[in-house]
Amino acid sequence: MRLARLCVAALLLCLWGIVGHTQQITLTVDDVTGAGFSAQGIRLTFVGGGTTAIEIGALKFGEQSWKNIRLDCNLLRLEREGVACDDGTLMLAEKIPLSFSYLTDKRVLNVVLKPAKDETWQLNLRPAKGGKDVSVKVAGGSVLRFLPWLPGSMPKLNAGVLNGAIEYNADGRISAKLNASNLGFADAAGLHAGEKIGLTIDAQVEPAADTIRWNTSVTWTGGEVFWQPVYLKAALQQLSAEGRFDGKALRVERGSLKYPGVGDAAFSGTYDLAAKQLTQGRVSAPSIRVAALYESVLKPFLDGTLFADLRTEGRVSAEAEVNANGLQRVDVRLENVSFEDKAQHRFALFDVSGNVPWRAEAATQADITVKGGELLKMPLGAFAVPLAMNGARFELKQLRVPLLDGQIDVRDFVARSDADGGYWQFTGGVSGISMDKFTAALGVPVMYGTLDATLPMVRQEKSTLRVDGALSLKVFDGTIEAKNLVLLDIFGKAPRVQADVVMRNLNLEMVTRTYSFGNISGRMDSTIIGLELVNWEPVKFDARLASSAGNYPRKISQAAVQNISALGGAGAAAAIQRSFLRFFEQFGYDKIGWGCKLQNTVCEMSGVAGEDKPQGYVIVKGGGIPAITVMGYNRQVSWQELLNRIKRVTQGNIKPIVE
Amino acid sequence: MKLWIAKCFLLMAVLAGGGQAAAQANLEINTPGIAAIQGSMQKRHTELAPLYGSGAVGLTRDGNVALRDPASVPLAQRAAVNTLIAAENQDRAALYREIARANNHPEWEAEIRSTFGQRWIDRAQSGWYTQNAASTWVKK
Repeated sequence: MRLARLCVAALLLCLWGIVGHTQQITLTVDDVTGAGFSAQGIRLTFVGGGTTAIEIGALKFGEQSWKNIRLDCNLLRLEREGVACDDGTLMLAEKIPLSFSYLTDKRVLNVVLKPAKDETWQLNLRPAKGGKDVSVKVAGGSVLRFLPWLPGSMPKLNAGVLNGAIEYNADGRISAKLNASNLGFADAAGLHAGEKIGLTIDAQVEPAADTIRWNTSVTWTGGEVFWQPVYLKAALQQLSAEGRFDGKALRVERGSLKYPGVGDAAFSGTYDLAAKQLTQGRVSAPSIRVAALYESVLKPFLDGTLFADLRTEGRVSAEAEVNANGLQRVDVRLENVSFEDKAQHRFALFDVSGNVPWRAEAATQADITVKGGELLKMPLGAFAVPLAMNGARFELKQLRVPLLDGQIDVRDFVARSDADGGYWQFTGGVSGISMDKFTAALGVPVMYGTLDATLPMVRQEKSTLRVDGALSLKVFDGTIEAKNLVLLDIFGKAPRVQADVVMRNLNLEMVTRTYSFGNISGRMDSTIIGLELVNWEPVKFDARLASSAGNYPRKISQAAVQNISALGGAGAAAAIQRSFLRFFEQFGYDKIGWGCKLQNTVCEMSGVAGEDKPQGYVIVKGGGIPAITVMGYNRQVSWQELLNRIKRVTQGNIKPIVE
Repeated sequence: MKLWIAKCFLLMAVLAGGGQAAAQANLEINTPGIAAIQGSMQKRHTELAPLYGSGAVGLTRDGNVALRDPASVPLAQRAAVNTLIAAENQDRAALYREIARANNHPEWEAEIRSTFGQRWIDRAQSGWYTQNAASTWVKK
């Protein structure tokens, strides 16, 4: 290439004299090739008066190629000191006004391109010890000129102006000071886009023994970026890094990210180019404001989860280390971190503090303390979380969370994650919680007694929650047991629950006091087999209620009789022997029995087993003095109609009418 | 003759397989699951309607919604709109699945989806964007 260039220069000078005497001379030059560069079909045309045209049939530069390039110079000055063109035009894809000069004695080349108004690209080449110094200055340069060189896989640049300079020294040093403004990019799907971005970039590269030392600092001065799902606005965030590059690995020795309002992070690492892997890395972020971190970084990732809309406060410090085998160490320190479900108030934890020292290949223990919280608007007391960690396995021997006047117990909690996803299980229960406080807090009819429930084994795999053994609950002086409990797709739009429920020995006086139903004294057993809820509404079950066996007072009030009759529909009410029974406030009974088999939104009703009469079924079988028998006549009722009846009855809209 | 028999068989196969779902599926079937999904979609519609109106979001042929013109949504709102679209499509997928399930034919899901896709497009208000047979956006 050098030879070709020398030939061209010599020819130019030789021809100068000839051109003066002739009209036009055309000269064809051999192909010129160099590293990553080739030019073919070069033709120089000299016309009298200094007008000159240089044509290149095909020019290749790196991956890019152009055809039929033409440089016209209205007045090519060939002088003793050098060659100059003050008024040229470069015909590339567009017409670009250009001027250049080459000083032969100093061997300095200056090229100025003015592709658009207010846009100038200036190239200066000058000899230096060991090679050439090159400087490129740009004023108002459009970044769109780089489009052909950018990989098609990245979002497309659509605007941006560059100002600044890049200096290359013959000794290998490079320094760049650039200022980008009004930068914009977007992909077709709209998932990644930036608008009006301002950046100042400062970078230096310096050769050192066997390696290159580099440092760079980028400050984000303006604009906004959306990178699904994160939206960030410029706030003078600054990314600085320095390190070495030896051709095989890129080493960051000191890096820092300053994020005004959130906090700072420091990082270092080594990236192996051949393995395309981070072989060593470390990041530390001390005292990050949780609220700012949550709002600007975490929140978009939590959309659709329980944590989508939180009020947060406190500070968190974190350190992490990776090597070629992956994440090795995470140390998190929580300082009075609080968060609560902002809109729905389903949960909250206050003043969570402590250390979480996780190691990939060692057993460690986190000591976390929580000063208080809320669960479904019920207050939680202070508790500690002694979480044992060992790689992807987490264990909690015992967690005791005070709730109202009782507590929630979680025992033998184990969670692990593997290639198939996550898995967790625990046993536990709740104990000593006053039902009146509990029901009042939940906003349901007030019940009395103490809530004691045992959770035998709760397991979660993927989106299914399974309870092995029986979930048992002590309420209304009896027990409620749920067996074969399975929750499918619990966080989905239509969660499904399957279970068999058995209730034993419930005190009917306590039950009826809770719901304004009139008063019944006695004991009741109930079975609900094959219960299936979709979106927490029953779609299928076979339920039976029956008086418990044994001796106990059996009394039913006038109001309860009326209500039971109302449940059976208009026909049942007629069965009350009104004539003289209206004088009694309460009656004796022998058995109460009622069944509902729900299928396809219809409830098939039945009464006390073995007491069916030709005209209907017996719901309350009389006994004692005065006795009363309540009959049901309609065997089928739509589930929705039955619900409406229960609602009317329990809301006390039906007043017992005793004539 | 042979060709005629082959055609008959083909017609029978089409009637027995593909056409059956559209012909027999009860698209108006209601279960608590379907009601829950429809409720959630109805609630979201007030947020989606202005985006349909502005042309930012359109109705696709395959019974989904899609961000048609990202540039018309400011960057700060882009995440919320994308979330809205994702949630809507999740609900729509669940709806098609539940309707197929409620008809006791889970395998009809794909066809129920395409029937609904056409239904949504037919019912779109004028000014909204929908996809035509070539999946090109057309202003209704």
